[in-house]
Amino acid sequence: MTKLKLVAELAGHEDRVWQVSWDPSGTRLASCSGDKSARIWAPISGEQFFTADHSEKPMAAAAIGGGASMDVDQTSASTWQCLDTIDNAHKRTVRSIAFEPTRGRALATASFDGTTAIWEKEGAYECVATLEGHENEAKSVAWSPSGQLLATCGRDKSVWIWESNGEGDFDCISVLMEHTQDVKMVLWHPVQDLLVSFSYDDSIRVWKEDDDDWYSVATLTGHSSTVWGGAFSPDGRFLASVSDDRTVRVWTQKSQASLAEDNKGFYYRPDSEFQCVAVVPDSVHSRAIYSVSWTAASAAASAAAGDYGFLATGCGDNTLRILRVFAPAAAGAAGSQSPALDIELVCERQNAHGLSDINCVKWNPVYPSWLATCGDDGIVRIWHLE
Amino acid sequence: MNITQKINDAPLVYDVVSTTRGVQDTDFDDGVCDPIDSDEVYELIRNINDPEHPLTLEQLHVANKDHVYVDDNSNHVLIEFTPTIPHCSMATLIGLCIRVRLLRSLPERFKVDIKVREGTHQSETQVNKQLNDKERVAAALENTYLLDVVNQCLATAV
Repeated sequence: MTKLKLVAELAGHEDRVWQVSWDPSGTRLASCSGDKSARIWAPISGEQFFTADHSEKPMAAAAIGGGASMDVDQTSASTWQCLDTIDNAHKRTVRSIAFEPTRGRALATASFDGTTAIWEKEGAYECVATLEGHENEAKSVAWSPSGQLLATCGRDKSVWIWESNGEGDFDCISVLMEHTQDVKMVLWHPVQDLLVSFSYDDSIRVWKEDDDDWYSVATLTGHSSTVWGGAFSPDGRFLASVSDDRTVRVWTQKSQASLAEDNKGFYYRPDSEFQCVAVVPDSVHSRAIYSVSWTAASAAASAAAGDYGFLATGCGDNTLRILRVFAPAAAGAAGSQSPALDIELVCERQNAHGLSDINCVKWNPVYPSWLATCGDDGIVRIWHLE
Repeated sequence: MNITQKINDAPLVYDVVSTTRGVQDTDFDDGVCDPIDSDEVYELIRNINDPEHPLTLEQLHVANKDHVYVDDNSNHVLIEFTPTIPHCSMATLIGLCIRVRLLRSLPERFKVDIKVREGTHQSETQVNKQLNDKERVAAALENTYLLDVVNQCLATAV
């Protein structure tokens, strides 16, 4: 029996919290908010927090008040602390935040003020670079796995790719203008040099580099409204996307063999095509889905064959859901041409952020059964999947 | 927005019907829980001022009591409004005014959907999508100029 246990509530932001991001060690969490600030949080006991047994802790009474208030561990109020607050990080809402993925030293924030800022900690966090270029609201920022590239996107329909010049600053190397409406989120593939963007134009685009030139290699259509975001499976084989149409879709790259078959007789051969292999129908989520995150099946043993781990979704219907992704028993054969997936809802937590939308969900990259969420209630919550 | 040339110069103006609810016996009983209903929500939006005329949404039949749907149990409000003309470029602004009014007045538990009434605007889908995109709304409300315009329209809605 799978269940989600609320282990900590982090209160401090004074407006809705839009996004959270784990650092590469999995021991710090950054959050950003409509209050124009960013905060960095950590468990006081450090990494031990994620390995300690939390199952025997006494549960507090239902209401503590002040917004932060569920059946959270009685001790949790003192198990996490806010390490840093970057007040007035931007002139307007801080919409997106991301730790640099190799060492976690730098932090990037993207804001409705149109800029993306790079922060490094020298005692306190200081702004070491400001990336300007978007005409208006910047909506998402993401580092490539190597930390060498940064992608941003915004209401001006563009995706920008920036390259680190090694001295903390970044140069713009590409501006991608093929979306026809705001771009809501950018996401890098965990292994390949692929960038994915999700848009208000209902499409997802995949971008690839060819000799310093980035171009669109695939457009994924199927969602019938704004695509708010997505997440790759930890091995990079699959991409999940979530939308205002209340569905979750899972896509995969076609194998070279099936691509060759598709392109037989055609002069032009795209080298990367995606197909949709699973849809969670709109009966499961009852309002827009804002965020999805994908974790490996279990912290310890490697996943059993055909077991692709868990999705978490954050939804406008106030419910936090955990979905298991697996290969249907019949279609598990190696070399199968159609890698269809099954997805089942394994647990849900209503009112995970009170009566507020859940804006972002993120599994811990190192301790895969730990989940951070944030919402319009201004609180960040830490959950454990048991 | 310099409104020199009005989008709709001569809109039809309708009489306003008083909808004051009579006093009921239970009104003075603290033990009775009054759910929020469509009358109450309509009351919040009927006197919002149109962005280009010194007239209320009620007088222009932009807001209509029959097009306010409230489900107190499931915390849901749906408002359908009717632009005076199908190419009204003010539709998004009117919708935003309604949204802000409800944002400020209703308990936070309510999820609010605002739509133009089906078939009454040529860009219905785009207007609806924008009005119900929380990120676009949040960004719009950080625009001080736009917020001033919204506040002017809401000044009469008391």
